[in-house]
Amino acid sequence: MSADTGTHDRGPAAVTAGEALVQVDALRIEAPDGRELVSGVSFELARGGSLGIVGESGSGKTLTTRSLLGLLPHGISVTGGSVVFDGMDLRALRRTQWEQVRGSRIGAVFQDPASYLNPSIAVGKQLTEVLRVRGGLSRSAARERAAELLGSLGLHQVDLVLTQYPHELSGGMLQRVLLAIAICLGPELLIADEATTALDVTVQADVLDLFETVRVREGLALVLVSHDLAVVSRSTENLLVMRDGVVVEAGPTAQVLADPRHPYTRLLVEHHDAYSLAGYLEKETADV
Amino acid sequence: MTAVATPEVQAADEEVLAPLDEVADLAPHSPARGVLIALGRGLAIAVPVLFLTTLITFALGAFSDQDPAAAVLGEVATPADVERMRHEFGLDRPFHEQYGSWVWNALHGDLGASWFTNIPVADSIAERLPVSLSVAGLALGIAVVLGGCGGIVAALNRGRFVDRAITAVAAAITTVPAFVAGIGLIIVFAVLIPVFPTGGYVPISAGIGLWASFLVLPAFALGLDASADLARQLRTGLVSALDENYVLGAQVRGLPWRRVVLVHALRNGAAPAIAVIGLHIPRLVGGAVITEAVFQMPGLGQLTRDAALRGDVPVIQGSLLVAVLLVLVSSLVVNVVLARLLPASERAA
Ligand SMILES: Nc1ncnc2c1ncn2[C@@H]1O[C@H](COP(=O)(O)OP(=O)(O)O)[C@@H](O)[C@H]1O
Ligand SMILES: [Mg+2]
Repeated sequence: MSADTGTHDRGPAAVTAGEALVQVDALRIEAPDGRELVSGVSFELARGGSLGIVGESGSGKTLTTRSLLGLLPHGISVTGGSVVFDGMDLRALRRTQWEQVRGSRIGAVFQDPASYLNPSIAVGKQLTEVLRVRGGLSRSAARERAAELLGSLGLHQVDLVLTQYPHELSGGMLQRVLLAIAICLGPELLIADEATTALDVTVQADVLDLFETVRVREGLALVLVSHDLAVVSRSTENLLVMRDGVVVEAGPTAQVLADPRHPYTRLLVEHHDAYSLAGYLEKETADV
Repeated sequence: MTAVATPEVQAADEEVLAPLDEVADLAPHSPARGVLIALGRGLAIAVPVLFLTTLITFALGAFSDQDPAAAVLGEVATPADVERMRHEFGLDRPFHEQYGSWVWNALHGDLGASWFTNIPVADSIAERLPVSLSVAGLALGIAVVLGGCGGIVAALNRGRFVDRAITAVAAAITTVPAFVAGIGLIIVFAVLIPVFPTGGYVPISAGIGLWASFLVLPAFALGLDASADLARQLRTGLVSALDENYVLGAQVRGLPWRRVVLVHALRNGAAPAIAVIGLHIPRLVGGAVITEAVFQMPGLGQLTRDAALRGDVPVIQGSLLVAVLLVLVSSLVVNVVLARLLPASERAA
């Protein structure tokens, strides 16, 4: 194989050893039939830092981030490498230990937010459920906190929203609700996997801004996953470019965008320049 | 910094704001409304069903050859005796008048009296009903507990040995009729290993333990089929619910697995199983007749069977009415529960 398939690693600039919140090393993930779906992915993420993972659909982005949640699809398993979070080996966790990590230390939001909420339960109840069961708040304290949280994420008429069911809310509102649930226990890491993909461009920009604001406000580290370079390039410090289960290029986002070394990255950047959100976003910035 | 999106930004965000105005009225999706609709529908069905079934049973009684004089007095009755008797029972009045007064009396709790014993039908039913309700109720309880646990355990172990074992056993059980199961249970647990009585009944006042010992075998015989059906439906419903993203979402929040299964998955996965219970309740009521025969229990089934064999029309009419009422009330309850469980998105219709 040519150099094209090797990783162009400039070294994660912002991270110094020992300080990293997330350390993934040589991660391998296999399908039940033995097919290797992720082959040796490595990255680090500093506390409060941000990492974008970009790559075409099927390149292994979702499986990589799912291994940080211990929630791989049925039959798929991590077969090699290490996944370390705040010095803790996540691969060794048992179910009850995972329950202590998910939500309170690592939160996540996904594409199609409506499907991640129970269709039969009002959204407010699903938010207060987490605050009560995991956060130990009383019924009234949880309600108050929920309203406050949704208000801080830019939702209006929160008392009404809290009583509504998932199908009654728009995609943008649902993603805010899901974000509220994801950060309500004050996690240190937020994973956003294609979280803005299904939203229309304006809402997408708002929600991306929201991630950035929340990241700074709450001091959380962000892993932003998208097949769209425009989405990840906007608000991440470091970038991982994935293809076919391997990282083909990694480094500070600005540097990778300005000087893509791998042909695949170059392709993404060209496509990005030609068709992306960038035009819209620049216009928006100019307006402000 | 506390506010994230400024009002200006959100005002521009039309997709976010628009639905708010549309859904200001919550009523169409509220659970209470769904329950009320189910209640209304249930009653709208129950009333005509009651009317028709009572009319039919009444007509069958009235137009059959059954005649209290012939039945009670036998061959020796003179035409004058017969006429006097018919008049006494009001059988010489026009049909609609007889039916009208039967309904009117039934509404007041008076179901007439047996042609043979003169015992008020309502009294006989009040005496027998606890027996049948005990058997059917316990059978339902067994079905819910056994079928519920079986279904949940199978679903949580999808594809593993436990799942295949439960599925196979459930499939086998549904092929066994209640009376065969009853006879089998008697042979095993009353004859070979005599831990339970072979049949009969004692009232609960004789002691809960003793009362229960007489109920265990008949209730199992009656409830096994429903357990098996319930387990299979619950397994299917739960397996597909567990595949849904909202289960993953609940796990991502770190909710305890037990809560994820019992609150989030079961809530949506249980509906088909509850519908199956609804289908089984008439079978439990009807099956009680056969089970009571096998176990020689003095229940409503035995009362009806004896009355039918003797041609005791008022008793037949009264017990059929009670059986129909039982079925209607329990299916109403099931439908209300289903309406309560229905996902909000499907409630509007
Ligand atoms: N449940 C599954 N069973 C088998 N293969 C899967 C499953 N989920 C994902 N894959 C495969 O794993 C690869 C990576 O998937 P994924 O991480 O979802 O990619 P991405 O998120 O980058 O689009 C794909 O080839 C996909 O087909
Ligand atoms: Mg994906």
